[in-house]
Amino acid sequence: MLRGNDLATAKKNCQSFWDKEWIGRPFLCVTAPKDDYNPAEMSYDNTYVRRMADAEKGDYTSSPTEYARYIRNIVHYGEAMPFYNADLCPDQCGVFFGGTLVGQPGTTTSWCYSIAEEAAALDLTLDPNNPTYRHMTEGFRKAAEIANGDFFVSVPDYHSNMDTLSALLNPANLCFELMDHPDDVMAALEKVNSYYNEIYENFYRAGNMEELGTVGWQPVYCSGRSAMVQCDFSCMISPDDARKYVVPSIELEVSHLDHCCYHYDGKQALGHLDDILAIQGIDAVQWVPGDGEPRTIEWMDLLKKIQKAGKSVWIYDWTAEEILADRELDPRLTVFSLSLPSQSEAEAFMKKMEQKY
Amino acid sequence: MARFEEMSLLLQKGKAKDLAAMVQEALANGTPAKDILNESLVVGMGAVGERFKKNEVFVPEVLIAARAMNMALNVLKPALAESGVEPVGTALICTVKGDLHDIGKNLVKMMIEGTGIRVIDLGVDCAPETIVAAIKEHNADIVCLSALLTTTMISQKDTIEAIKAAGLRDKVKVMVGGAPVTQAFADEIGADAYTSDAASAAERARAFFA
Ligand code: B12
Repeated sequence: MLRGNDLATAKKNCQSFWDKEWIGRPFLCVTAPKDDYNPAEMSYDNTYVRRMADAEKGDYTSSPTEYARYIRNIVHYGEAMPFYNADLCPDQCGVFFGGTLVGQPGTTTSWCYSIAEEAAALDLTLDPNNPTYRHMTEGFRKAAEIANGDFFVSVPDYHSNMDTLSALLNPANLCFELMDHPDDVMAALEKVNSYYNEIYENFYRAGNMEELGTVGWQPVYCSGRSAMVQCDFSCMISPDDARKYVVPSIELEVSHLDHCCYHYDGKQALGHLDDILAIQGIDAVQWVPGDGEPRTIEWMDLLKKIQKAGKSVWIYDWTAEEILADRELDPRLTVFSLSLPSQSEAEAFMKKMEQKY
Repeated sequence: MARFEEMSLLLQKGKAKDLAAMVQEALANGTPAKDILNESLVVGMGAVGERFKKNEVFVPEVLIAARAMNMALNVLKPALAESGVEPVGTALICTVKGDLHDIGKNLVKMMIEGTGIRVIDLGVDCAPETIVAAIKEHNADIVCLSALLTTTMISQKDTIEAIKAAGLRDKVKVMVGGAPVTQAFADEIGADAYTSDAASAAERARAFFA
């Protein structure tokens, strides 16, 4: 593992994160370029559109090979782990169920085109021969081979449950369906949810996570099964509907995982906070206020409320100075991600953090 | 007697077919189209907007109310035209270039329509040139630009620049909105108005004609 020779300590600390044990400082995922980094290896095209184009050509190796070169130039501190993202689209579950995968020309991203207007019109059988499912599985396998234990293949960002239906119908149609045909939506959701474990296990095996453990979109290493759980569509609906459709889906996913973090996206979804915090199996929450909104540091009351509910918070957008100065968050229940411009700054930061506590 | 309140409630509940039938019946009974529009549809949509603002109803509820409003307007349109009810003005609305998010834009459109302004919807991914041409073609009074991505907010600025370059800036009021847009950004790019939700957008648009 390119993690360095303190890998065992890092893994132990990560377990403490999940067990909510004090390690003498908050949990830190800090990275920086090595002092002697090779500039030629740093600019690596890490986009969905690139991986999609490669996969269509049957090339599953160029991107992870470039990543393998790139990541040699990065040092990891604290609980940070090197991981490669092999996803092909944010709404990949939608694509697995027949949605059309489209790369947006001129941009770096791709997404899933809707294929029907009504939930009843969807055929929600998972076809293992679905081209994207196959490409991605192969991509995970090849990436894991190339990694050869030096880095992880990231747990996918599934966009499962209602987000899958939202991708397949488009969010406005799913809204109409919730009002017009709630039973069809529920039946479709149950069908989609029934595949969560199968899809999870597929990539768990393909990405060699059984052997190495899991990390990635969810930032703290877990020796067993972990993932980010979420429902972005929840920003559209009432707390009643969230309780009916979203909460049970998340509970089902959580029950398959050893540990997980909830990706909480957008102020519009805050009406569901209490319901999300009441879900036992959620260990941590990543709060994403959204653009145009103040940064997470301005949401101290919310962050504290999450901690008060016994969940950790993942903070990804504070500066080193802000992290060093913080006295408000419970450090036992906080993980900070930070990338710094140089090895010396990262080392100085780590030292200051050790001294602070 | 026209059942304005009942119609307003049907609209608020999104009962499109029942509403359209009742509008039809009211027209047949000789209720002026203008009264149906103002006393039930505009009132109903206004109530939905208020409740949405207060988080009492959510996007699905607003979407079905908007759909009901649309259906009722289609029934009313011939009668409105016949009775010579003129819209107070014309607004163009679109999502800017590079951006495909249209749920918010559609809500804003319905709410503005609910105030008696004619709204022409140019759809999504709308280039500045298209918007400029449409301002001329429809002799628009207001242009509403929606953007949901940080990367496309800049298209709101580009559109305002294009409107200026075409010599039309004094002729139209420009409103901007969408989740990442702020009042500060609106000021910076020289927009005439920004609001954070659809109900306030409609109030603001209507105020331009006060
Ligand atoms: C639905 C959705 C989609 C749908 C859009 C379907 C559709 N037909 O609209 C789909 C799946 C297609 C989609 C695609 C993408 N999306 Co999107 N999407 C969303 C989501 C979940 C909800 C947006 C929404 O409809 N909200 C509900 C409506 C009612 O709210 P609203 O639009 O803000 O409108 C209100 C106000 O803003 C205001 N308003 C709106 N317009 C106007 C105009 C004027 C003039 C005024 C006065 C007021 C006003 O009134 C409205 C009603 O009150 C948000 C997440 C979120 N939490 O917001 C992400 C989000 C907007 N998307 C995002 C991204 C990144 C994307 C993609 C790039 C992702 C991808 N690769 O798939 C693509 C881009 C596609 C493109 N080129 O546009 C990001 C944007 C980040 C950023 N700020 O740059 C968000 C915030 C999610 C996230 N956190 O990452 N998305």
